[in-house]
Amino acid sequence: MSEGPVVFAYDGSDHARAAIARASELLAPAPAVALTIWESALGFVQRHHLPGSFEIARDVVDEFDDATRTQAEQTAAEGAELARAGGFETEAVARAALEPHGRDTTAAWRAVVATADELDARAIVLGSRGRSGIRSAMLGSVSQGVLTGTARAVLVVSEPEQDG
Amino acid sequence: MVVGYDGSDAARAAVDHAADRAGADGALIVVHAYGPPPDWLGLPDFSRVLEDHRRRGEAILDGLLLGGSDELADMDYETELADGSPTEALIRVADDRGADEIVVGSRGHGTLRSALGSVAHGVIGGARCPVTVLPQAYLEARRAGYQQAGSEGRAV
Repeated sequence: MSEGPVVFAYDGSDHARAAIARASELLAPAPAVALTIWESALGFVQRHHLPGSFEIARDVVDEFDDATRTQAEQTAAEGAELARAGGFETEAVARAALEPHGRDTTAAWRAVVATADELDARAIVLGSRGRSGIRSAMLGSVSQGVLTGTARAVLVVSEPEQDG
Repeated sequence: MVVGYDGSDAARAAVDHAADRAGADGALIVVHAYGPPPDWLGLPDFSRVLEDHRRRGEAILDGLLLGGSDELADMDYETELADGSPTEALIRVADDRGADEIVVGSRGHGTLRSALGSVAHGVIGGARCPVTVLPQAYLEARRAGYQQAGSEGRAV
């Protein structure tokens, strides 16, 4: 079966951090990739059909994207640091979301699935915010997309409920 | 580690994945839920039907070693026959036994192959521990691995 790294879908949120911590008890030691997906401002503009969107200068979008990419790289590096502390030999990867197509407005999950395929990932690790009662409804769109779109094992870590 | 088993080939591949992950020294509990058929509730034959389901569940768990890889035969695993739906049973057994992780196969509904199976969805929503979801395509590929390995019946 797959011998590639564990892929952490890492967005810097508390539940993504918690997912790395729990996964280190279950999957470490192993090679890993902390993957942060960023979205081009162009996709955002297209998706929301902003008035005047076609007049937005390309270099403005580029400037915006440079900042977003840099931020994503920092987030991925932070995730990689956490994963290393958890016993994973980890590489940080920031990647642009794939172009949206059709009615699929969240291309982030497809970038996660595609990256996992390229790396022949042994598993994808996702965080899912836990909240009592409506927890199943709290499965985010990225998690939902990855779970239905991949042919690989997916470890879903729900944040432990706060008692009381 | 807790894994669900309904007697299907796909579920057997999920058990093998869990056995692999748990390792020879790991603790593995294979759960089969024989949920009472709701349509029969209240009928005079209900207890007999329930008993039939329970027996069938026992037979399914007894047959566990017949398919799949040898890893399971080489490790200490437990089986648990549980009443209720597969979702309820997996969550309950994992809670009762303080499981670190639940492993569940995901099957799409009917023609919607890509849909997340309802058991996987329910377990993710209700479990206190992390849940590994194994998509149908993964389980089929794992199955195909044994067939390639031939009579040895070992995963490659």
